[in-house]
Amino acid sequence: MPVVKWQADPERPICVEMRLNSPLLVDAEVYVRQPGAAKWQRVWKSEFAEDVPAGRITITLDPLPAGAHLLLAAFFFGARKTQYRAEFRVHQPDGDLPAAEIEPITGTTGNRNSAAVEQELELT
Amino acid sequence: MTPARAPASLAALLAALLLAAPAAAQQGFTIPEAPAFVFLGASPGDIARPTTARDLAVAIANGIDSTGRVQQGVAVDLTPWLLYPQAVTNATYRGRRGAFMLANTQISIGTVRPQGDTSAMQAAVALKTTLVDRSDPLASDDFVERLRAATGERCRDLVTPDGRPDTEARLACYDRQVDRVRDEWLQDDGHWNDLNVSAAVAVGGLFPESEISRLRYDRWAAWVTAGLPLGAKAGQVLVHGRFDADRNDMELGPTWTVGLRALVGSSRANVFVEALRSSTSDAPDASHGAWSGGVEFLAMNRLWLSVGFGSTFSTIADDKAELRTGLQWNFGDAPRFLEALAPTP
Repeated sequence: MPVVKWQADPERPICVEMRLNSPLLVDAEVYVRQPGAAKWQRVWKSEFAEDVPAGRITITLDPLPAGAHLLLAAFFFGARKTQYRAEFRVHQPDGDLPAAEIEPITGTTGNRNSAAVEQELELT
Repeated sequence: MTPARAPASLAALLAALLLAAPAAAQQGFTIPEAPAFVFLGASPGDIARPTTARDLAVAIANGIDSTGRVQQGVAVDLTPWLLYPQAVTNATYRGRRGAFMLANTQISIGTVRPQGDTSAMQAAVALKTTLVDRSDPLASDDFVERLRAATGERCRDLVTPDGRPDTEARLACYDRQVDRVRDEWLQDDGHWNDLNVSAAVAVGGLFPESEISRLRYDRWAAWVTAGLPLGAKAGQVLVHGRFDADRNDMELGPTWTVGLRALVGSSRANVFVEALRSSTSDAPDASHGAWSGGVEFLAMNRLWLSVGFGSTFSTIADDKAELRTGLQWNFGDAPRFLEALAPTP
């Protein structure tokens, strides 16, 4: 999945919206890598295999500087040949800058029981 | 035989079985994956599977040229809930019949040029859904609770040295846990043969001169398949019906096809007996069918083998009850005719 570059205001908190739809169970997580850091840190995770309420999650993150990376991850699991759809929106509600443009991701678990959707963003 | 040569030999054996399989063995009692294509007698190689409204519009627009003529070879297989994504989560799938049916609904659309007419175009649209499926693990509160308990946090803690989720390791972890819990739920608890009912309907139209403005109704067909438990875990009875309405262009009445299959065993090996009868009013061979019986087992992942006997019967041919033996094959997650057991989108 290509990294999406997104211009963000380093003074404002970041709002991450995930719409995760599927008959499958889902584990959703958000990771951050600060500029210059060697490792990613998991800053949020859904309750284990908890249903995402109405398929929608909204998380607010502390402001991040330019050069930081965000990783949005969703792991769908539970059955073969089952479809899923993941839609991510990253924005700053009170800011003037546009939201990150991320296309919805759809797929099927195929012959596996699980599938992963990962979207990385680089803040500029 | 060395271990290295065993897969090649097995593949050769399976290929031989494939070639030896009688054609009738490959005609299931199940509802087709995309009923519109079966309804039209088409086997499109390039099927559009749009997941957004825009993609759907493009797929349909591609089927009509600039002069308003319908194009040959349109093949669209659509899962409607992907166009309205907020409707389906695992909670709604388990808790709301509407969400369950929506998640299991597929719409297929196809066009094909009718035989003997180089200018007209036939089209069909079909809707297929699962009405009830108590053998679907994802629709079971019990299965979901077990999966949660079995998986715990163990899969989530798999990360790469730089702290990212280790995707392959995590998927392998989920796969193992799901396989184990699903096998327990289906086999040990006897859910493999639970009640399931699926149905489909297809409607066909004809475009004289392929002009979209001249669409007229042609015919319709419907399918229904029901699986009923035979004892707690012992077996299953499957009933299949198909109705094909009479065609405008033929002097034939409607066709009824009814099939019945009973099996005793498990979802991995069973003894079965089945019969299929088809009747068409005003046809030269007004009624014909087949029956067979045998054993069937899961040879390997998604490959079923069966051996049995049976015969065909017909109103114009002699009703010879001659026995025949053969090997039959089928790819799938469940025994032949039990595909409704496999959770499908």
